[in-house]
Amino acid sequence: MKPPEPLQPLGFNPYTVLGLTPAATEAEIKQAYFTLVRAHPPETDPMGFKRIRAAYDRLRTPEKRRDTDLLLPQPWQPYAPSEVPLVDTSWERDLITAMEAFTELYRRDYREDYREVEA
Amino acid sequence: MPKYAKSYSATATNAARKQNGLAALRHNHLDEALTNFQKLTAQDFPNLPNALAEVYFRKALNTTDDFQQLEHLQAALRQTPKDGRLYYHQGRCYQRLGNRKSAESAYATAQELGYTRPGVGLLRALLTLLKKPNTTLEKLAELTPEERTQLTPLSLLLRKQPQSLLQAPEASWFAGYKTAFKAEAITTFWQGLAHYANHDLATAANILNGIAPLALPAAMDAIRALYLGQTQLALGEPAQAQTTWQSALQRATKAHLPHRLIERLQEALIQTRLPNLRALLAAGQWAEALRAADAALTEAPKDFRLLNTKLQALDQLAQVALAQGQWTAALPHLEAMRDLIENALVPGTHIPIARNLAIVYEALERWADAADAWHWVLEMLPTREAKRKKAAAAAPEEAPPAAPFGLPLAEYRQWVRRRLLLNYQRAGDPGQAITLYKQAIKAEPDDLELRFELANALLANDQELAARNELNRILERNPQHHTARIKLAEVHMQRNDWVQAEALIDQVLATAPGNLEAQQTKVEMLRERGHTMLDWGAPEEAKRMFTQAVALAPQDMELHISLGDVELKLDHPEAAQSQFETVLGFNKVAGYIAVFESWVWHKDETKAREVLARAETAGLTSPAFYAQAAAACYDMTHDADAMPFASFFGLKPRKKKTQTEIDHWSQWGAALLKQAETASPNPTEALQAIVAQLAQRHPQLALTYIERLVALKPNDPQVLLELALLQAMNNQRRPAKDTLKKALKLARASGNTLLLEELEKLEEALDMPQFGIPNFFLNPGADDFEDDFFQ
Repeated sequence: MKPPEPLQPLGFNPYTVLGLTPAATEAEIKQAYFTLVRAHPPETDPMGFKRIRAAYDRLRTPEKRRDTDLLLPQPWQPYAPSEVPLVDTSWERDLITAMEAFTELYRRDYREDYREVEA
Repeated sequence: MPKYAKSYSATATNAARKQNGLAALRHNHLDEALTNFQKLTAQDFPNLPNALAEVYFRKALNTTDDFQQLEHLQAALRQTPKDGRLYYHQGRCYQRLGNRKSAESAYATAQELGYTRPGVGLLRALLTLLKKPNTTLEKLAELTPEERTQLTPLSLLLRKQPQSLLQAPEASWFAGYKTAFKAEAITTFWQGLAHYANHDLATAANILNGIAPLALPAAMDAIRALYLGQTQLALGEPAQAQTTWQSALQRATKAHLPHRLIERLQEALIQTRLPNLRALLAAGQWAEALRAADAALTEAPKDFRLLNTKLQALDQLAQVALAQGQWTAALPHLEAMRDLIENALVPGTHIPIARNLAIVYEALERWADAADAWHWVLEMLPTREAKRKKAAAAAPEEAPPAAPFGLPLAEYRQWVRRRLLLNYQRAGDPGQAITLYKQAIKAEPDDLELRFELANALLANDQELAARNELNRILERNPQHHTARIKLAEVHMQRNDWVQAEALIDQVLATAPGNLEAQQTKVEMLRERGHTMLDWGAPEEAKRMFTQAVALAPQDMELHISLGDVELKLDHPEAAQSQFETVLGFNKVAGYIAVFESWVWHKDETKAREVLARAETAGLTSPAFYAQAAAACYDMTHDADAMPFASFFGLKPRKKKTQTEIDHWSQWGAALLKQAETASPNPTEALQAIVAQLAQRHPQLALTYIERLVALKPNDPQVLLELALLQAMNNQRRPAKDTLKKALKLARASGNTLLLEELEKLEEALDMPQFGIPNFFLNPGADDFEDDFFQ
């Protein structure tokens, strides 16, 4: 059985490594890669080369680029709530609420309304 | 157990149940009463509807939850629909909930049914005033004279006539207030509000502030505090206003005041907090915004505006960390966002939160958590059925909603499922992914792409038979599903069932000859079979396989090499030459190296030197090139078993070499290494290339070169790392550890975290009894070197 496909978590932003934005074209990506590897060849800067190479590898085909783009963190867009408060804040409502204190609106004990049930 | 329940059991008679129920009702054990009564019929107990209604009525009055109270009252009304008192209490419930119309209707019905009680008129009057604040008291017919007097201040303020309330209160107002609270405090309250309505805020504040909180009924006091705070805010004392409201909120909560009042006070506080929160967010002060949001949420924990603000602050803090690759720093913020959403109602789409969480978990290799997060993403995506219904209900020309990130919904869902599966595999639980797929297929059995994903998941979980069955199900539904047929062929290939595999691929190619995937799969099949034939000592058969493969993939360099080597094995040097010429015609460095190695392996030094000369003429040589060529020569100084590329070409071990042979190849290897050194004006570049090529295959030789490199770059931690590796590979563990120590110190000082990680990995490996060497960083980019880099 074939070994499971590597998961390849992203772990970094390839565009940032190549000095590009996600809107870069294929040609720009390739150009950036070649420019950078010439500046960081494996013989003199193997770690740098490895990083650049890894970044390019994540963007070199449409499928890989799609996967990479789908793995880039994105900011969350907040839902824009209505500015109208959910509770009634009108003057009239407040006044009537004050007056409700003198009614039986919030009374709980109503035993006088209980009825005996005959067998 | 209450004594009336002693005889209760499954076999109790209906008479006993009736008696037990009535007894329970008398004692207000309502659940017991209900349980007994619900087992009876009207035949057993003619008065059953009244009994049940009474139980539900009392349950309603015994709950503080208005919605539950309504449910119980509705249940009672189903039993006794003409009971006026039930409508009265229903009206109270609706009035508390702010449903004015339903309340008015309920009170009216109660009155029609003859239910009266003192105070109903006042309740109904308040409903009328809520609807029409300008209504004069005379028009409120249901009021008694006393109630009318009591309502005078309210009516004046509602009709915007505060003037007569500004001075000392009317004595007649006191008479109206039949309450334990001091009437003076109450009328002062109205006086304070009158000044507020008259825009005399300073006086209003003085008056309202002068009333002790406990002098008023709790609800009235809450309104007092509300308007006291409003005056303080308007007078430029926002901190004072907030203190007033906070205290009032605490008192209201303790007194279990209605939700509406508590929300009213919360709203006042929120309105003072929101501008500051938004300003902090706008200024990019995320940490301060988070602290302020947390403080505000202690007062109004469910307000979604505050929750939104907190989420924004957390998200921005996470994004800052993510932009710097600080996964560990980002994680707590993302987890806090997730916890917030799970525990509170926050509108909007949360897919980006789940996504970011999944990405970070993957980066931190927390596979199970990543799988859970991707699962969460999947749950939040619109379901297929919902999508279809929505599209059908909408205008035909309306496009279905796009998924996040620009992909069609179905494709994005497929991608997420794949990610989910990979993470479950990594977490050692691919079975979980399979369960999810099966559930999805149950809901959508004709979704062939889903079935295909399930097949992949089954294969990943080594459930090959189940996978084959699933692929066959796909083909039964759609015989033209080429992807499924190709996958099935691959499965057969894995089982070495070549006949079946080839038949399947040929079926695809018969109907879709241009299908690239089928072509590539066939090429791979032929390649693999060719090498297998070589292993089995059947070079003619191998040649047949490679020839067919080359016809399908004429640009595949490796196939030409394989065919060339087989021709040499079959003693067809001209045919071999022809294949190698094709390879050289591609003008790739890797091609020249491969042909050179082939000739060296077949001990044709003349031909090998010709290739070398041609590479030099073509300008394709470099230190790395010569080093690779040297490595091939040095390979010839060992016996075949030790050579890494022997099995690659499927060649059997050969007879032991003579010392003359060994010396000869060593000399040429040494010469090539000298050429490698002189091929670059930069000595370190040359040495680095030599080490990279020799390290895996000839570590002892590589060690001498890395030592020379270290002499040139003694403080380069990367170079020291390579030295440590090679020392370890040459069983010099103590020197390796010492070298590593120095490298670690230098790497820490330079702040190179990537290199530090590599060094720490090596340090761990050195401590292991069975030392396994991670060698990839000795050969950076060598595996699939981009030849056109040099063009």
